[in-house]
Amino acid sequence: MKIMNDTRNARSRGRSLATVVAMMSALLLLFGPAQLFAQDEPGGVRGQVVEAATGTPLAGAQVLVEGTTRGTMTNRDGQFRIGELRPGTYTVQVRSLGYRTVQQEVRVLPESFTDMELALRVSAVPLDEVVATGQPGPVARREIATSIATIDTRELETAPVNSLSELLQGRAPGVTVMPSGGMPGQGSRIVLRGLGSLQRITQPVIYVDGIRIDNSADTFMDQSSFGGHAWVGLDDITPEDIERIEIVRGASAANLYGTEAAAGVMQIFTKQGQEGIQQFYLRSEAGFADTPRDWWDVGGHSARVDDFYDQYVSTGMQHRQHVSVRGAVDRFNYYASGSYRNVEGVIPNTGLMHAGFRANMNVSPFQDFIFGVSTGFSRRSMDLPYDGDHQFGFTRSALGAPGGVALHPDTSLMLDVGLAASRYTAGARMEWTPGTRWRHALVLGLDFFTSDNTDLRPFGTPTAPDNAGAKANARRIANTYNLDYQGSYRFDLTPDIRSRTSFGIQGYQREINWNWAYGEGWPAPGLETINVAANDTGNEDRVYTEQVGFFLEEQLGYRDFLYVSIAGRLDGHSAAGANERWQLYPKLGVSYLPSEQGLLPDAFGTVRLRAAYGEAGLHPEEFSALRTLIPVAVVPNIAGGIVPGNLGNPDLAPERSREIELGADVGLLNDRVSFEATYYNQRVNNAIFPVMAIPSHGFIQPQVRNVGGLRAQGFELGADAVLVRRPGLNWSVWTNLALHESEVDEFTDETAIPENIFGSQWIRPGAPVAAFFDENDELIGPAYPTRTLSVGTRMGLPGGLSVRALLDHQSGHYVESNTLRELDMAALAADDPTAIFDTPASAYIFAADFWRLREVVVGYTVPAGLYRALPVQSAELNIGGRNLWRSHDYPGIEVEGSYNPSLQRANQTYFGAPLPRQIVVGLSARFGAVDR
Amino acid sequence: MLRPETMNQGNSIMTAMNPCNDGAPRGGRPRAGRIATAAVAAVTLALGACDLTAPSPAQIEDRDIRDPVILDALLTGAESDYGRGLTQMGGGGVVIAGGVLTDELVHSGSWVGLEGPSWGLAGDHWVEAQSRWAEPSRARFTTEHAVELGRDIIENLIGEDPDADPRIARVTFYAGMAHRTLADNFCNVVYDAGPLLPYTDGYLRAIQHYDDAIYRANRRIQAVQADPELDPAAIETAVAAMENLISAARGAMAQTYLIMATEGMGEEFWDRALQNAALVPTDFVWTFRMISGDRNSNRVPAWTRSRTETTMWQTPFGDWGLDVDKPLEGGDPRVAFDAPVEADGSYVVAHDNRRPAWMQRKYTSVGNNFPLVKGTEMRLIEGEVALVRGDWQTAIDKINEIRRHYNDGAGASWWFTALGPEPLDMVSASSLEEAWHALMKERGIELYLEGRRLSDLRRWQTNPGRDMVPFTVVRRDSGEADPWTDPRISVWLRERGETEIPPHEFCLQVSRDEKASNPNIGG
Repeated sequence: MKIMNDTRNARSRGRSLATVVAMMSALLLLFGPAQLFAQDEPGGVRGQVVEAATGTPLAGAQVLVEGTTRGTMTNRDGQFRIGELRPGTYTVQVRSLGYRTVQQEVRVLPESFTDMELALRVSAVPLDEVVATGQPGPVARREIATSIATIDTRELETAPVNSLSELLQGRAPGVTVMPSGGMPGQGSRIVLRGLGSLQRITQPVIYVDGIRIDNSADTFMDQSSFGGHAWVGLDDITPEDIERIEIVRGASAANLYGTEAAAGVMQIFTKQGQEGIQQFYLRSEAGFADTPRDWWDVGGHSARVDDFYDQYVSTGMQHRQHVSVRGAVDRFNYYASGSYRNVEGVIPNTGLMHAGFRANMNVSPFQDFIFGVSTGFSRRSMDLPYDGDHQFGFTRSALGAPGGVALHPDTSLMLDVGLAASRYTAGARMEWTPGTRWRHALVLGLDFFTSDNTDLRPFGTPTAPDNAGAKANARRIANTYNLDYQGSYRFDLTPDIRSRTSFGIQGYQREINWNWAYGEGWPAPGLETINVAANDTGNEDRVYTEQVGFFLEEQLGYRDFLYVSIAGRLDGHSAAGANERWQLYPKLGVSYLPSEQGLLPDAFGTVRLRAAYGEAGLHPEEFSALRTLIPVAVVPNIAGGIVPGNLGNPDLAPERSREIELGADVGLLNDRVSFEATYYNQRVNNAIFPVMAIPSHGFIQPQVRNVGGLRAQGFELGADAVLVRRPGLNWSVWTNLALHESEVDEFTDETAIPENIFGSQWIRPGAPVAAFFDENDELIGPAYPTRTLSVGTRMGLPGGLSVRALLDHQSGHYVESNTLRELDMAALAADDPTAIFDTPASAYIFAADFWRLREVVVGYTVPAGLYRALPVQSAELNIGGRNLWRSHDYPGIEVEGSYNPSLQRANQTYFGAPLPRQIVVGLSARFGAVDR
Repeated sequence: MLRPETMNQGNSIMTAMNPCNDGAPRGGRPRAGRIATAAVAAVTLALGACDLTAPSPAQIEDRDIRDPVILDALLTGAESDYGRGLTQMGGGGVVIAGGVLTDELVHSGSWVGLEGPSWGLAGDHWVEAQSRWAEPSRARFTTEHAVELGRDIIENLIGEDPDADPRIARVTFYAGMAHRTLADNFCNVVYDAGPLLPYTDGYLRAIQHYDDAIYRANRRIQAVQADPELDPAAIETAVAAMENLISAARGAMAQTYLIMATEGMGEEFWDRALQNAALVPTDFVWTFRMISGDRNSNRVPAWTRSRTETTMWQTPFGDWGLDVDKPLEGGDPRVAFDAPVEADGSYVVAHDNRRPAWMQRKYTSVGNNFPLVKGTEMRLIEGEVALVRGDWQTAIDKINEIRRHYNDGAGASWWFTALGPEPLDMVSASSLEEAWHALMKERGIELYLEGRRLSDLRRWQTNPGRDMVPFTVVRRDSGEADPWTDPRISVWLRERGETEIPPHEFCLQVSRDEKASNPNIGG
């Protein structure tokens, strides 16, 4: 035996890379340099898509040529053009959200374009909307037995948001976004259908154009010095580049993703080139953010609020610039963009800079094959003060809470914290549809993420040892490689029954490397690197994760109104114990459309009923199943040591979430009203939970075992109503409602004891996950919302005006305010230092219900006559506001600000800043000639 | 869900594949499709053979450690584990916990796990109490396991005499020290998930390990002296190292025998204490090497200085010690402290915003080594044995011998704050009782924050007796010692069914984790 971890590492990585290369080679050989050019000179189709009732041109409608990979979207005049089609007869299909799909045959002649005009009728339920997440390939919604939330960001280009997290707030039921505070760049937790695990961090898996990205919040720094600021990889994605987001929220829908996806999956699709339209897009926006004085009031717990506000709180300026180009030349289409935003915070030493670039290219060398490449680069940096529970925290010092050493807030501001990260993603996609029955798709992706986080106390800072300065620097590098192959075969079993068999393989490998260094004691001011400090130390860690899964699904469709599917995924994950490495996750679903069967009166419009059962997993933490020894710091002049680490558990299995989902999608009143309702019931029977190892045995870390359980259920409703629809005037309202409750089951091992997460939050059987308890162990309530409601409206007014608004509400949960406790401790100490201890901890647990006016946007479409002489296709001015109004009973600074999101289950506040009000003014313009 | 902003306008790639592909056929290559599928199936099968064992260069699996190349790391890690249990976990380890439980320190912060001991209530339930027990317990396992496995590797894989290996001798010593950490600080000891045992069991095991360490060190000396291939300088170095180890083991044995004798484990132990102490010179020092890394850094400064979670204010050591900001007022520099003041002359307060921050100066850096065996303590041991036998003059002489040792500058070590103080005064006594007071005070000063006070106060309840123990609990300005006034503590007292101020405890509790998980204790 020998310890040759480096060799094992190299072999494993080499094996994985070799496999990927072999697969690519095999597929390339198969796809090969086959037919690239049509034998006859190609022709095409062109035309216009309008709304049947009003004749209004429909922009953004999807036009597809069946049996090919050719397709495009209509421009603002509803026009489209598709070329490079071999002469023959085709079926052209047109889809647009909110309208019924239309198909029409057309004959393509050599060297000419056939004209078409298609009219679409309104349909409230998008049965033919194609979704890809959670499915073995693009599938029409009518065939899917589960609910999938889709967010089209086209109209959100003018939304006053600075991150993708903000973009998601209030957009879909069951998708709860919980920010960590009001400083620019602070990350958010995204929770789908509540906390689905007792121990594991339940963030959804995120893909961007099929590329899996790392979304860890770990900065590898002392969280308290950052005040709980955390990084969220999701916010590296520039919102302006996003075309569509699909979210699957539960195990029944996420089954396809196996031992990673019990917490849900989010797929982000970025913009691609469009045939027939060559267009530049420019968006320029400027604005400011502020916070009213009473938002800092802390319920009267501090006498210094006015001084603090007058001296340190100000208006923060921000601006955003985005430019993109998209178009197509022959068989090649492209999209490229660049974005930059700079946001100042409302308190000193806070700010965000975000720059990003993206390039997506697709080429279709022959009609049934397409090859695409997508690349993206993002650079973000944040400036932050010390905050949170740190004794030198700025807000703490300014508002008068006790610290280890009496500290003036100006001194705290000498301490500099910076988080910076770069992300590069790249992916290659190949799709091949030989004939009408087969489809193959392959995605290879890589995501390179690097963060550089610094905590600096310059020379002369009183808080540094001997006032000689100190610095900590942490670098985190996460490289993720993923492969996703999907194949399907369709054929008609009978004239009424269609079969679709799907299969595939999906896998990824992730390498994470941390490096950390600390130095203290510079001899002179101006020095800020660790290598010249008097004392220094360092640390490093590496973690590898691998997962691979195989899936098989069979779907039978009966006359386009009944679909039954059964599927299974066999999944292996490196973090699972040796005896539980491979898991099988089944899935069963039914989608039934009585309206398509003709059973319902016409007034009912569209009705779809669905039911699904599925299982998905959540893997243990890496290496928790292994019995290990830990290498420890080197003692001078002696080799590094090893000590007992993890006791290990070869029987450690991934948590298995089982979910039943029942739902209905209904369109009423001639499809003017629609709603989508879903009930879900989840059960986790083998939740991972730490069980005390017997300390005297020598292994003192808890042993994780599958001894916990969790049950949850909920209801989600999305409703939309078109109140007015006339030429030049339209008005619609919509709402999302989600109700959720959960309960921890009794532990199956008597040595497992309730876990104190933080403060008054516990994992206790019989209560919601991470609930709050008082001093007598009586339940106070959950830490996560049990009710979320968002209400929105959209109006198109005469004269090119538009108005959009979003009101957001969360309730049913609680938050613990360490801010107020610390302030009270300071206030009481002067008279009676022990008085604070007379106040029970539960006195600082508050209901976290709130209402917030998230967005209001007023837009004005500039009349074309004003820029007719310019190569401008369209222009819009808008003014938008965010967080303009809030209402809650919480007396602290920010009810939504949660300290240290890395403690993902915790809902604690510790100073910080409120979510500011923002006002932005922007101009969007599209340039370029329409290719007729 | 239909909303204007939730329209699907997917890109032309992902949605171009129309699932309702019943339009005009376009030709194609069905055979190629089957070939592609077969190729994918073949690759799938190949991938399925992978075992998904992700490498981890940061961890070592247990199955890999019986290997000669791991030997140094194994033994070094064991030594490191011992040191970690001293000051690292649970709010400063057993050193800080013992400090606040005794009269070395007063809790002046927000950690409830230190507040309880500061009131004299050791407690087994606080979060800190779990790691305070767990780390020394692991150290006991790690050191003994390292010795056992190391001997196996050397004997059976390398083919040499394991008892002549200096590394084995050294770790054997630390195995003894690990037992001492448990026995000195806790009310009971537990080994390998066994039952609760009297803490005195730990002393017996410690003595055995010290004995083995001495034996192995001597074997090593014999081996190097008999090795014809070693040059004289190398022999001298190797011998010196082992002689140092022997002195350390002798000193540790003297410490342990003194405790055992005091605990009434046998009258012969007084003599054994004397015999071993006599073999350790006054200027001898054996320290645990702390390093400025995370694992074995000295965390006492963090809890007594930078975080001011504890203070020397209102402790007898604060009265005896030298305030370095007021040197003219005098005091013993061995318990020097910083007591900064505000502009108005009031003391800067500690983390609780109440008690003055009097910050010890014995350890000011994370790299300060931690003393384990000192020759000066050997003189105190000799003095104490003399006191037990009624010879108080010898005890006074021993105290003064130590003070002259420091006044002469010889052996002045890093912990002697040489700030230009006046020489240490000589002490005197006129009775046995006075001599006991003088020795107990001297011992407290000499061993301040070395993790020894708790075992001293505990055993002095037996000899010279409870009434002689120099200990008072002073936590409030009024001089009261009343934990019922602290709601965080009174809640816990009520849970325990207490109705009065409970007696001050002189040992830390075995953790609740141990009790709950160990089937031999009722877990």
